[in-house]
Amino acid sequence: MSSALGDIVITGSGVIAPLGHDPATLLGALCAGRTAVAPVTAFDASPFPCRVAAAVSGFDPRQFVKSRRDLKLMTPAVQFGMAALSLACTDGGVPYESLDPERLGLFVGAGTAFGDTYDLVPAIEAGFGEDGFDLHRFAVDGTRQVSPLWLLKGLSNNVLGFGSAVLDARGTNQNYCNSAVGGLQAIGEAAWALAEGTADVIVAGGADSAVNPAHFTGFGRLDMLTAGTGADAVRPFSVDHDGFAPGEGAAFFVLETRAHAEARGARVHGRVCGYGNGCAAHVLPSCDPETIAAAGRRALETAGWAPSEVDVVFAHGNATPAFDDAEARALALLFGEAGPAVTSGKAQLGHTIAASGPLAVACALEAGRVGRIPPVTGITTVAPGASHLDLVRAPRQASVRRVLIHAAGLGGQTTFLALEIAP
Amino acid sequence: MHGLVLGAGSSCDAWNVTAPHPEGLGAERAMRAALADAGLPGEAIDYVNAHGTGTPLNDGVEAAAIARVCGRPATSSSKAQFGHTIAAAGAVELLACLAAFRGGRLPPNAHLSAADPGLDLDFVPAAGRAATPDTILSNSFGFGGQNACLVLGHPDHGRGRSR
Repeated sequence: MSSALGDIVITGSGVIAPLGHDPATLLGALCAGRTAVAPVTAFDASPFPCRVAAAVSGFDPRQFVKSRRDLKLMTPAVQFGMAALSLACTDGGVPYESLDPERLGLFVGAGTAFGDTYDLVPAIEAGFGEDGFDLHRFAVDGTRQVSPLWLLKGLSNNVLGFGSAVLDARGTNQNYCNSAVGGLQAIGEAAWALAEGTADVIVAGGADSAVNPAHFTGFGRLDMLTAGTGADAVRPFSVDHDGFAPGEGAAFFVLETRAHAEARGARVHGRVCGYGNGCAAHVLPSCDPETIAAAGRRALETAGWAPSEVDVVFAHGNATPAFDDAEARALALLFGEAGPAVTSGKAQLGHTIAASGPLAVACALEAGRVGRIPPVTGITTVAPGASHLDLVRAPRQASVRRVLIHAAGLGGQTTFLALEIAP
Repeated sequence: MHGLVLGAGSSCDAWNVTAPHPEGLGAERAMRAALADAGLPGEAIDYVNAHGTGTPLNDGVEAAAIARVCGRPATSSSKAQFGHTIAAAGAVELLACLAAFRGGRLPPNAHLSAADPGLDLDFVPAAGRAATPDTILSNSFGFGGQNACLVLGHPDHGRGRSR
């Protein structure tokens, strides 16, 4: 059976991740068992229940953003996004000499935009007096302390706004601000838009950072973060899983039809064959095995694949007991007893939220290229609910051709992408 | 049926995160893309529900772009009444468009005292105007330079309804 999407291929990849700034380095580090999960250095996390994060290191945004004025308006997540989309376009060789800028699109999965946590602190302080916080005092004395740029820095669509100007992408555009599924949705929807002829080339991916006090507070209050302090704190599908470590990063890709790619002689990394969504918003945060399995089936149907044709699942595996158990049950519903190999990068990369799906896509493409599946590290004993899974616990030499990638969001969203890696 | 979605178009200014393209080229492309999707020429639009934020810069750029694409259509912005509901603006303003199909009145430019002499469109007066449009163009533009436009049709569009 053929893909309902036609023949949409990936011709460029760009990655800024906690363990590497290119896919080969990233996969090498994952397979070597290295982990980016470490004590937080960006701020003093000692009073928080979670004290570890997976931060991007060795990153200089000035390498990618030339305008100092623009850089002032960019949170770390936006800087990672700008770098990753530039790297993807360099890798893919976007053919500006022949491409109509109105046929170049940009689809972005973006995180929840808090702006910079510290930028409002002086204004809030000004709102306090001996009688506590006073909104009137905040409005009169406090707002003067707020930079006129504060709102602009906090816009959820800044990667799209800045990125479209840098790429001269004047065509179709989307910004998916949708918890942890936005990045995968950007790629899946870009494939559909190309299949419908809305653009000739679309740059798609996601960028996010949860390494800040606001995310530590929010996810911490939801009891979703690990209390562990070691490099092995995050343990997806392990009996002692107790949550994730906030992460950060970005991954972007150049997508086009195979005909367009071949006409310009571009190297094909892989093909987006299938895409499926579901939403089970009963209770927040929610995850429902039936809904997850149904979304996976939609992705397989779009791809025209039988479940038995899948080589590897890059699972969400966020190491919270509720999500891990729901996902493991969903994979049983989807594949039966003898399912494909299952891996997840969150033990080593933290949870990069909107970037997590795109980073898994980058890892999958590289895993297929070198024939090596990266492991799920951190497992002491497999959780009883996941005992039926073929968890990849050490790097595995294997032919990786057909891959399913799953991301799950806090609002009950579940998104699958079906990728075929070029031989 | 409240109305028909005849066409949709989007574009990026690819210019500046906070300011629209000075000539409104991005907005113009989105309008033309929506019209092309609908298979209609700009002159076929009876009424434009503009983004119309009421800032001199946006109003001037948008009015000039509408004039280039559609000529001199009846135009109003609902933001004087709804305020700017940001992400919800296009959706809320769609209600005003559907009401025009049903009620036989074009939504007004509330509080329009006198049209800016620099803007050459047929601005609907503050009291509204009795007319039942057959086709409507609805504009929404965002920080970041994104533009999205819809072409809407009366429920009887294409059925030979006398106008």
